[in-house]
Amino acid sequence: MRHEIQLVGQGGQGIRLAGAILARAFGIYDKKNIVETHLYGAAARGGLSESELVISDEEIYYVKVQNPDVLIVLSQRAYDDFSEPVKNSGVILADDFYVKNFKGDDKRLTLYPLTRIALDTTGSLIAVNVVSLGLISALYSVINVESMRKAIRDLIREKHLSKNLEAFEEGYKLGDNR
Amino acid sequence: MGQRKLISGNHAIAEAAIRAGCRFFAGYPITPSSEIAERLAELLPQYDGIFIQMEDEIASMGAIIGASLTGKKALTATSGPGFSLKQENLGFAIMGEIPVVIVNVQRGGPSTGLPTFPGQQDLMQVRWGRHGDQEIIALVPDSIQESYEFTIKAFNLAEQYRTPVILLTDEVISQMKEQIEIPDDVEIIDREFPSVPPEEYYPFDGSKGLVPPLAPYGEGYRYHITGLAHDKTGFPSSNPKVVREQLERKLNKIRKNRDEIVDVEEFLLEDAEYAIFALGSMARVAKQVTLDLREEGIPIGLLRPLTLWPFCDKELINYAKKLKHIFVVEMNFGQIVGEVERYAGKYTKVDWYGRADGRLIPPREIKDFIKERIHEN
Amino acid sequence: MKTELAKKYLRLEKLPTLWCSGCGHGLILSSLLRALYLLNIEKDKVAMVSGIGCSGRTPGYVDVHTLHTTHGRAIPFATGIKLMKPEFYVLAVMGDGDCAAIGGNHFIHAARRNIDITAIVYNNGIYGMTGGQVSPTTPYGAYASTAPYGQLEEPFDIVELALGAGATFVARSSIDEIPKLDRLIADGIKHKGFSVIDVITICPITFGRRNKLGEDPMMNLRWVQDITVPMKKAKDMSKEELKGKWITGIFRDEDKPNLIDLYLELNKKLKHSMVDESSKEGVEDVRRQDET
Repeated sequence: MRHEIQLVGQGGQGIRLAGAILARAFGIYDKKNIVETHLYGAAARGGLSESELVISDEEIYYVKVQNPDVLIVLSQRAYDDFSEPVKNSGVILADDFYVKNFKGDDKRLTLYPLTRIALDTTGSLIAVNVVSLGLISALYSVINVESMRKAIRDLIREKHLSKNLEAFEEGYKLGDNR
Repeated sequence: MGQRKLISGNHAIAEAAIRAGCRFFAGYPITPSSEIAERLAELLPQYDGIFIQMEDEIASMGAIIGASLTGKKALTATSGPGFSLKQENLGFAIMGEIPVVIVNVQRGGPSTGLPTFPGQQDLMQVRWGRHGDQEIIALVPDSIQESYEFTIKAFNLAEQYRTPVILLTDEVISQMKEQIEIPDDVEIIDREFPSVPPEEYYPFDGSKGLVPPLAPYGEGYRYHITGLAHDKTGFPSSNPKVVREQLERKLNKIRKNRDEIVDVEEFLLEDAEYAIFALGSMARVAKQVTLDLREEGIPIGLLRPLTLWPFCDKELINYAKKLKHIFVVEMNFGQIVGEVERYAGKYTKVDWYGRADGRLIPPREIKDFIKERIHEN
Repeated sequence: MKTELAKKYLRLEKLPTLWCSGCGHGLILSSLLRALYLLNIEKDKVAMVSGIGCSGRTPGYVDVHTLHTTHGRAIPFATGIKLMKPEFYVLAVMGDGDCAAIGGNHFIHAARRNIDITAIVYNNGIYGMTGGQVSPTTPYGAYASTAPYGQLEEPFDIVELALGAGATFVARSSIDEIPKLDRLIADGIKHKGFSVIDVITICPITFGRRNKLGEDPMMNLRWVQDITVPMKKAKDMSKEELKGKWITGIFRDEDKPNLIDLYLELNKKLKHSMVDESSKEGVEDVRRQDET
């Protein structure tokens, strides 16, 4: 099965790091085939930031996402520009602080207080990335939560690790409670 | 089983270079290739190697040629605009027969174009961008595994044929991350040392073979290299016979060894009636298209050049004789299709689909195009 | 000494040179050979790199590792050689167009990074080989095939350029003071760091003829005498008097860490602290991306 996950937000929301954590969890710990690509360049700071993953048991030929199964949007522009191709059966998880305007009745969309949880648990906005990862780990059965924890330990600096793991668990609870 | 690694294409190239024995890198920052330089700035000093960021692309090309003459393997990396600037000294390396490897991570052009988006618009500038007649070797990976393996192969070919080799990748392949298997054993080819004493050594003497050995500096072999037309000793000559013989040898060392150099991937071609011809990141898209069309019952395959130059003319003709239709798909407005038509056009129908807007062409578009053309015929 | 020197360093079978009679380049070449001889340098430890033009033909006559590169690029090629062969004496032989026009960028950056290369500039103020076009050091008002009404631009002062860019040994001399030139070139070769010797020379055929000096080398040499002023004498001259003159002498001779030594030191240090090549590939750059 081919799965497509896409994360979009602003520079400074840790989008690229979140993509790298997902890639590592799937690629190294779950031994799936993955391809991680991202919008590249100056846009990564302040402007639009994006990371996308294709995950499969088979060989991956087309490396870009076409119709994401999961889209995380952490800014209004991210929702405006990236929500359309998401599968009808897919989910769009949006941050309720930054994403306010929606196109009609979008059944794929659910809002979550991701930024608020990041601030409450770590005092830092950037942790919104791990909160989001916690959330999709709970909601999306393809993701192995243990692998995610391991990948976070690998990729986040010692100094920030405990706070970030805490934020991840808070995000996980958010999805688990539903 | 080798070590499994999750790595970007650019980093794979840097690490493979070290593995191949590269101990010198000179470069100039350019998107989307800079990560190769950044990684080698870190790695080379740990391996007794030298990294230097030069003042421009031209200087980087000159510096790697100088470094190679000392007997060490040398690399530079750039993108289209930088490659344009390197052409001058690349021509010198071809004339002087000095082994070096140049990575070109293609982005959208012309001019500054699309620095952070992919393109396949340098296929012809790699082949014909310099003045004068010459053969060039260019390898095109379509994955990170191949980026690693082809980097090593590029160094091997450079040393074996005493010539510059180009590794032609693109923004997609170089920036994305996927898993690779670092092979435990790799074949490393080193430069041949002259078998004759210094007083009998001539750097361009073709009498014992098409590829005369290149003596490293500092070993008692003092010779001359110039960009001017020269005789076997390396000194300038404008004698028409000498000029022709030398140039023919330089061309023939690639042409006559083309079977050793040229490699293609034949993907589901065995029973195919149709084929896509695509390379690099577009070949990956084409593989998806091939599988999808097969599911719909269309007997199609993919012919993918792993060596862009020299061109896979023989292999192509071989399939063209059996196929009803070849579809060339490329991320530009028509470059390699000219070569395909030149060789396959006599035997079968050749159609083209492509564009250059900084995006991979999605499989659906290509599928629709191919189905429409098959239907029309 | 003469024949001994010639036998030791020249490729005698390549003589005579292609330079025109009356050309000053042969004088510089012989100075260069005497400098190598004075320093008793082993031929296998010398690389001589040149660009394009009359000066570019120099290496062809010298029995060392010789490389005749593209126009203006002698220094980049020399840089690659020197970095991989730190024990080599690497000489970059350039014309004024090579050094200050098409290769100007390489020249100033080699000075800035203080790489241990000796740059010898054959400065005749003209593009001789291509038929006498203006160069970046053609004097204001002089005639050239591309300045038929006189040069309208001011020339580059190669010494000032080198000093400003950070070269650690900078000198100027001319073909009119040969014993001194031998010594200056030897000093430059000995110097650890980027050294520049700007040598004022003549091109009777393409410069002299157009500028009322004729083809007579003596007339042209007298012109060199006229436009060069030793540093000592220049001290007592006014700005007005020094206009259009080239001051000769050693302008800088400074001990400063050079790139090769710094690099070798780094290599030694790193050899003992190899970074772990774990599977955590790409971790660092992701962090860098997101933390600032």
